[in-house]
Amino acid sequence: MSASSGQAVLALHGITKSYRTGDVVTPVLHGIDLSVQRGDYLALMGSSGSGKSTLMNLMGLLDRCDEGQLLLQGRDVSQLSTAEHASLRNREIGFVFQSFNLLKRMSVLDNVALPLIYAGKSRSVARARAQTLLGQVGLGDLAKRMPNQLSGGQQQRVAIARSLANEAPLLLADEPTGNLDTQTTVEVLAILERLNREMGLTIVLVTHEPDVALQAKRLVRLKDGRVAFDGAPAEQAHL
Amino acid sequence: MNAAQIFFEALRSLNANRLRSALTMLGVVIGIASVLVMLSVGDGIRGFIDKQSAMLGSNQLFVQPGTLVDGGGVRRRSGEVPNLTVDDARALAQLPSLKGAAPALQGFFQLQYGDSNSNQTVLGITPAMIALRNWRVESGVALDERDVQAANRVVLIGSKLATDHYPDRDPIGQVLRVDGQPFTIVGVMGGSGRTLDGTELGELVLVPISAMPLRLARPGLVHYISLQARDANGMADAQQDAAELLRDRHRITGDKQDDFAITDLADIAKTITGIGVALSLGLGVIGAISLLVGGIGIMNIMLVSVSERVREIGIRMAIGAKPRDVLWQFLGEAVLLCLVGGLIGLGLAALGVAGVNATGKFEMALAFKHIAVAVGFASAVGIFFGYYPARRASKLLPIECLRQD
Repeated sequence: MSASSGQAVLALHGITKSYRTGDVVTPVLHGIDLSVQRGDYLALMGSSGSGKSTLMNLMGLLDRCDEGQLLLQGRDVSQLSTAEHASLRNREIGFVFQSFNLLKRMSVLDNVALPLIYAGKSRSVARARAQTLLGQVGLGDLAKRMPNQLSGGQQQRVAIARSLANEAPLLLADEPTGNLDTQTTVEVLAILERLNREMGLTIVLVTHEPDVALQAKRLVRLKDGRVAFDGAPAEQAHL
Repeated sequence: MNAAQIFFEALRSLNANRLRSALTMLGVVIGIASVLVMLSVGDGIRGFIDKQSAMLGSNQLFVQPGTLVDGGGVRRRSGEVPNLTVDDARALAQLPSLKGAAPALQGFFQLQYGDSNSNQTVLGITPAMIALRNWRVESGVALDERDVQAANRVVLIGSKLATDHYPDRDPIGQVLRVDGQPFTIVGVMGGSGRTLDGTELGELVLVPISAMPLRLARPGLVHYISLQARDANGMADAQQDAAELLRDRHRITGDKQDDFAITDLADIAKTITGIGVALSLGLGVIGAISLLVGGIGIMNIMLVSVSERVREIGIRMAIGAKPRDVLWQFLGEAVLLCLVGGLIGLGLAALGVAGVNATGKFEMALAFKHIAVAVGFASAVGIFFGYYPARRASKLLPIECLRQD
């Protein structure tokens, strides 16, 4: 993976999405066109209700769009089955959530190993790889702990380790620092920055914190379901 | 996910809610235990009947004086003297459909063994009885015709009486007083256990019918006659022939009632089998209801579990669990719950069977096939009642799940 290959990891063409509650239809996205290049580090901003979370869910194949095309590594995946989406989420996309979303009944090690288990790896192979990944985020010693025995920052690092399990080329981070204090925010962002720089990992990060967005290489701002800005973060982050 | 991973996941999940898991599997535990006891009782009764048939001898009919009333009991009409005789038996023995006929007298006497005594049922018989009932002389000699003709005071005793009363000497040749009269022990009978007609083989006391110390209303009277048909298919014919012969000999004509009753011992065996079948069915119904209720309980708890764990399902789906993986996860939990319940039920049934066997009155068996039945039934309940909740979990949308708190 290199930042200069030029191929879009993710490309969205004319994506629309609306929500229906009873007879009331609420349009959220009105034809989004967006391309995320390999090695990109993109911050997605927008006010509440601007559609950034909806867009994130569509990019992560957690939800389906109404219209439009979604290309993952050049392949249109918008019409694939639920099981195929699951498989793609497993191998091509890593997730980091605001609320960490670790399984609380499992050890930290097993949490990180789980995507590998779903990818068909044996328990021992999955655990060995999970241990290595935990070492990479500086938590090698805490593998046997349960998630609730870790601090918020540590839990988010576990989630990052989990997102790397199957070497997915794309990492989607939904407000990853939203529940963290300033110091831990800096640590988590440093890890993301390093993954992007050293491994060429493509990152799309949703945030409403300008300081976080400033870490990214590119800023996309949504407004009322449309792309209102797409450019370097320094110009726009604080608006 | 492979089977081992599904198993580990299910184990982890059930372990997290131990009390709930235990309560949920209770219905399955009771159901499986009932089903197993049912099967075991059924097998036990079959074994009992087989053993009885061997002890009684095959194709046995039983003639008693009096009139047969419903239910197989025999009632003597008041003022009427029992009138089966040794001559009746002799005549019956000549019937071509019968293999043999053996008359018997029966009395309850005090027995004095020298320095100890006991009260025992004594049978007065002819040698035919020993052959007909498949009795076995363990040591010494059997009775013979001469003993009957000469009314010799000789006696055969059961093996239990022999060891109880002659622990350190050979009983043969010893004198045993029956109702005060001296009898010489000539043989010891083998075998133990109680036959269908209530005879305890180990406590048999057999004397020549002619030497029975009984005051009879008329010489030659007997208490009953045992008959043996030629073969199993000829039972009905034998019964009819014997009845006709006895009616003829007793001058019973037209539609007058018989003054004797002939019972097919196989009928008694059939009655016992019937009771066993009824008992088995009863337990089977309890088992089936328990399994049904247990299964519904499992479905209920699995539905609760799915709705409690929506967020977990969402996380799993987000990181790559396919609908099939989620289905297997919850189905695995339901099946494991049932299997553990089934194994506990198996343990309970084994304890129950061991308890019944320890009494020595009845023998039940718990075989490998029963374990297979327990595992099979438990899995079936788990799959049947676990499928719907598991399928519901697998149909959830990841985005809906992740929105839940």
